Amino acid sequence: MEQVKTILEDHEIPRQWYNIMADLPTPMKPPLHPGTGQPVTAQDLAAIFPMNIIEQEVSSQRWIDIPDEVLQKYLLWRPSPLYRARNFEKLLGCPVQIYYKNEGVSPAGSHKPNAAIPMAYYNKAAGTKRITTETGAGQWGSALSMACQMFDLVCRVYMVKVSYEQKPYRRMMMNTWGAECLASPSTLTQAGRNVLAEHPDSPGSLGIAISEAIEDAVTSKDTKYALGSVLNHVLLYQSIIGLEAQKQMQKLGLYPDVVMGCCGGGSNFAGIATPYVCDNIHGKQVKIVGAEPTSCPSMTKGPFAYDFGDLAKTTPLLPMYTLGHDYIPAPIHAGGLRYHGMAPIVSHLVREKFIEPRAYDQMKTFEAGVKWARSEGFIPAPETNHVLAAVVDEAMRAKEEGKEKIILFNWSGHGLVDLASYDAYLSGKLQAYELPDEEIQKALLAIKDFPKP
Amino acid sequence: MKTSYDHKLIRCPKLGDEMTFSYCLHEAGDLPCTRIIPCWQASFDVTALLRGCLAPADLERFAGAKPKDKMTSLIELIENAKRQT
Repeated sequence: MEQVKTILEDHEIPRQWYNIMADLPTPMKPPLHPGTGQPVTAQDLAAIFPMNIIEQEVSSQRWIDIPDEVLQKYLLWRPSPLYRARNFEKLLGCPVQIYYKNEGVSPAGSHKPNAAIPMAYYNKAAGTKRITTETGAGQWGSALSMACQMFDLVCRVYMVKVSYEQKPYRRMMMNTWGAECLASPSTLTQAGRNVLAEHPDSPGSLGIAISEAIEDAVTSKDTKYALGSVLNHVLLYQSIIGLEAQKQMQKLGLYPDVVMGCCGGGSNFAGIATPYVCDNIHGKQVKIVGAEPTSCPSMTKGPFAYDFGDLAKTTPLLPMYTLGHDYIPAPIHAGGLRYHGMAPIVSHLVREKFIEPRAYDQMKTFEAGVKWARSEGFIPAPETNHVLAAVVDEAMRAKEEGKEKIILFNWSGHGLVDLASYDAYLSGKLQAYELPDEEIQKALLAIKDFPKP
Repeated sequence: MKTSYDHKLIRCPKLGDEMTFSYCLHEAGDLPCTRIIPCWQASFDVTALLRGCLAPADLERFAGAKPKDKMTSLIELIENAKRQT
């Protein structure tokens, strides 16, 4: 019998998050206030985030203690198992050992609760009674709903109306965890009422949902807002993935040659990668690869400039690899990979050449995902398929080079509520699509007047 | 505004969900989603279609303007919300 899983006991869970900000060889550019062009202050954000989270957002302290209350909740599924993908290895027939962190074992089925739980905890500690957020298809909304229930916080999620009606399962998850999930636009906010007055049958949009969530947080007593990706504190909380992986690999007496993750807003990728970036900064040599869709080439083709942190342009100006705020990602089947700009930390690490970005088209990613499901059993989330395509690519490179390699990657979540995407792939409704260079150049015009870092 | 493409489906990169072309045409109220051209141009000449089905004034607004909620930064949204209290 060959060993498949490497487990850490509960008492072996890391007690601190790792903050890469402390080890960056060159400092990050500060986020800019979109109105004044000046660096954003803590006070600018205080209406929507509690001060303890804002302090972490700007912290350069290397290690930050994980509160006992958060650890206790993490223990419901953490430390997550490190698997060796022996069946996938056999299928590929390449000289590689493939190890992965299974983040699909969390109650919400993805890495998202790693950040949702501390956010709920710190809000509770700061006296927050309610948290609002927005969600598209519902992965972040469901993780935050669960976390708020754990800390006795009221949670309201504004879910884009058309997804609310079309994809009921995430909404049902939110309700089961006690959150109020509203179809946006709603009549509860001025932003929603304005839209409904003009368009009573509006199916909603992500921009409207964000506006409603922020307005609700600002205008309601003891209420704050939570964002599930991009920002520094989110990446900090996710570092537990890589810290656990380091301990597990050490138990096996191994060190990876390549560390990989899929990149959306950057949170799950940074989670596995930043502890290894730290190793590289201090002399180790491990290749770190971020996989993203060909049709959303923010790391591979975009320049480094200041841009808005999300699709709705509602976060402060943040320096990141970007195609501009008017850039529209192509029809990729990866909800978590829809950001047109990486998290500023990830962008910075790409620029400093600590991370190698690679892009894969959606046909390749689904091909890898189906291969994985048919060999390892677990059905990956569509965004997780991007890193699986990168793993296949790396294994093939090892074969061509005649080199043995140890690959470690983050399996960020399962796809059991994304089966419609698999159906579309299996029934031939998907098309490969590579963004033409002229389209990229056109998108870049949108940010030509932005300040350059 | 109705087109023969209205019922065609696409995966919306903003929502992580399958949407019809009709949704994209009306995503920003009376204007199309700002992402409609890059999302659909691989399937058909959506630019030509927009030129054909949008009134000149709407086409100009679409080409020159961004959805109102996207004009607003987080800070601006906070300030707007504060003014309502």
